[in-house]
Amino acid sequence: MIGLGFRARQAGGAADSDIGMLDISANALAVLILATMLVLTVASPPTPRGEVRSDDRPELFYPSPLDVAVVPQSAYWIVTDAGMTLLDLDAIAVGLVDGAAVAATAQAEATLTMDRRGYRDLNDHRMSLNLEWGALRDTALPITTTQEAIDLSTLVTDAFVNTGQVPTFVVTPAGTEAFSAIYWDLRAQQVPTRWVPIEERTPLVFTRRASNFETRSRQWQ
Amino acid sequence: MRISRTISHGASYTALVDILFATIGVFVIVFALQDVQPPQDLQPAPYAHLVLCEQGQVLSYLSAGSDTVTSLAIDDLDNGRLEERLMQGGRVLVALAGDCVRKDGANSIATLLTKLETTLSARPATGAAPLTLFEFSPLGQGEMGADVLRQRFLDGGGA
Repeated sequence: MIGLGFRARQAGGAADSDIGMLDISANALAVLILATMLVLTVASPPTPRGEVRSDDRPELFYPSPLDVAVVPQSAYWIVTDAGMTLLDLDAIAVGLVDGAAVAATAQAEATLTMDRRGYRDLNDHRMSLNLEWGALRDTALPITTTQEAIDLSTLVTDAFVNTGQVPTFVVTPAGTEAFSAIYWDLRAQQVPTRWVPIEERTPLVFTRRASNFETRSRQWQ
Repeated sequence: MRISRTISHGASYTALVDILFATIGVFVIVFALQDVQPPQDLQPAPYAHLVLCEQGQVLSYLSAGSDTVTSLAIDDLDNGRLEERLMQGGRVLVALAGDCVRKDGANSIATLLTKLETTLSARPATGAAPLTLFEFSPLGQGEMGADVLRQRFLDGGGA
């Protein structure tokens, strides 16, 4: 009995020692897991937009693609020598919503063509806008000074950051020079930007057809 | 009977402690590797070519790694001279002044350059002739002018 009792106490001590080690190692593991979670939370994630691994950003760089699941909504700006005007496409849509082929607003006259003989998708369309250049000039936000250019690029940047809205600029030759300040400022902020040159008195045409998706087209820059 | 059960409990704890230490070891190694190889951020890529069209439709070309400015004529845009240089692949910055987007004849300079972009982008990219990526930017005056842009390209914008 004595021998058995002694051996039992000895064995119990070994078990306590194992449990103690188990306790220590489990706590150590918990501390490591907590430390890992803290590091993952606190450490800054790598910049998602970029193409080459490098410590420094090049002085002059190609715009990184915007890899998003859904293409962002676009705001269309008309740039003339008088400045920038936001094209009110909602007003045009209101005029066309009842099935009319032509709608006129203060900014443009829109003609919507939905040719059902050659369509592939139900929403294939072509919309031609004859812009009212005088009205666009009258309501333009000027870009004559550096501060005005900074204010306008801030306006566009905020729209991208807060609402995911990206700009498309339709630029006349006379507006190209003033627009360059806004363009390079938006590029420095990495705001995805598109711009297309247009001659005055030329219709602005929007299309949606299969070729828009099947060919390599200009993406957001 | 009681002794053998206690010993068997002790053995099972030992195995668990072993597993825990092994897991801790994995964490420690992962931490150590993070210290050895800190991750680098992704950065935008620099340009390999610069094509400038200044006021008065003055065309010039610069390649990365060379400070020689090559003057171009409008005919060079569709006779293969510029295409041959851009066939080397890489990213191309095309800066256009207002004069270059204005149509004088059948095609503006911007239109000719857009056709060149289509030609070079539509071809299959190979090791000998890698893909060419274009960016068109407006060209202004002063800080946004041709001289500043050319200098920025030479100062490290080029690949």
